[in-house]
Amino acid sequence: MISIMKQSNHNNSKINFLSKAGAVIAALAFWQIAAMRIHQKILLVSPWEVFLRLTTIWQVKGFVSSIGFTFGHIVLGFVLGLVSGMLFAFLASRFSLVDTLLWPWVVTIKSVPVASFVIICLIWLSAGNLSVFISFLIVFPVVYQNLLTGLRSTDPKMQEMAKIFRLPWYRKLLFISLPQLEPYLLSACSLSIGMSWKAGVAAEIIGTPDGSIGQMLYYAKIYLDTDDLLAWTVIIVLISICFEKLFVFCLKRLFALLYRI
Amino acid sequence: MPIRITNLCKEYNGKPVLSHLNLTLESHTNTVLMGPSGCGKTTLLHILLGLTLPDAGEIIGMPAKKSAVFQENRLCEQFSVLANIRLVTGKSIPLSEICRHLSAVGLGEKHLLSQPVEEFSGGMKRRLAIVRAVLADSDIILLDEPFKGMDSATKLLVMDYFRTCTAGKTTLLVTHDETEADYLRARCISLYPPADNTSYT
Repeated sequence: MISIMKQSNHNNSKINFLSKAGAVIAALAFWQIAAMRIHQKILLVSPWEVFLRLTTIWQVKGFVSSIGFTFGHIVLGFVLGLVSGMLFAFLASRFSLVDTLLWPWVVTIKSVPVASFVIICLIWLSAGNLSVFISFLIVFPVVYQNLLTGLRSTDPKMQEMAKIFRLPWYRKLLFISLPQLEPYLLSACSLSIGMSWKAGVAAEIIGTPDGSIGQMLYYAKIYLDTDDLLAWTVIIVLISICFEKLFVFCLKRLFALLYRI
Repeated sequence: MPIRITNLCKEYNGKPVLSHLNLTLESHTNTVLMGPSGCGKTTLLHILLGLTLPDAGEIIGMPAKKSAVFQENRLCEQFSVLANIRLVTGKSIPLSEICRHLSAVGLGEKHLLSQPVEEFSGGMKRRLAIVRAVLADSDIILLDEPFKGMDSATKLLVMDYFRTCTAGKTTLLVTHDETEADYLRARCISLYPPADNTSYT
């Protein structure tokens, strides 16, 4: 019975993968046909030309350093947003005043367009540090609100158990709070990593710090290098997805290690 | 020192659950609390555990160090059997002692020790919850229908374990099953509220 169920699940995931691959091929074919019909590289470059540009773009001067610059800044902003979001969520779960005081900030950060923040922040910060701050601003409310929801939905019956057995705070945190926070933390990280890359690169395009991916994209726009523009976009998407998958994988491994205590 | 409960009252939404309950629980004795559903057995247990406040009445002599088996197992499901025990005992009890207790309730196989509790059956979880309560450092153990969901052979095994390990300890066990009280050779209190809600038999 179990082997039949496993076989069925395996077949379902295979069908799911094949249908998604089919959809991607169809989209690429549509793009290729549209590019061929328009036949103007400036307006729409074909996926094949983007692919060809990807095979040579690594030779561009400053390719690795610009990826390193942008990666370092966005990841730093993400880590700062993650740590402070967790810290303030824990504080807000204990003291409702913290949540009340943070409410206008969180609502403002969530509703104000990224571009407005970038322009305002350019007055205070150097263009080089802008992506760190913008990435932090995007990550903080997502992590804060997700974790606060998780902390508030902690099972009261488990808290009662902890009270009866007089568990010290660190055991309550490790054995009761963290396992219940796992899905909230994973979804917050998964969601905010993609958002931090989008906002961070947008900040770099507006601020154009030297030696960043944002500057490369800006130059591609100025010189109407559509194939460069799309090749860099593909690179950003790939780095963002790889970082997200790697980070979520590491986080899951950490939880698996915790459960083996 | 016995635990004296005097004139204990508790009501939910205007409906009295416990009304002027007077009870004495002898220390170092197994006591079984019986009665029909809804007569306030679990409410009394929760009041004794300090999880619910009574509307009126007094409890004298309740020890500070308590241990419990709740109606639900309340185990840390993702963690191993050993981690669930160590959660309440710390490192104060040697591994060999923990294994001895687990063996006594039929959870002695070595591979079970590191197995996540979420992979256990309901009966196995119940047995683990009982072992956890017995091993926890406490002066009183309160148990809410601890043997429910067990087949008769397992029930006898676990009751034997419970009777042996709690000899000389103060325990209060809530059950519907009279045979459990007989088997545990416990002092039995029947909680049958009278129609006029003035006193208990």
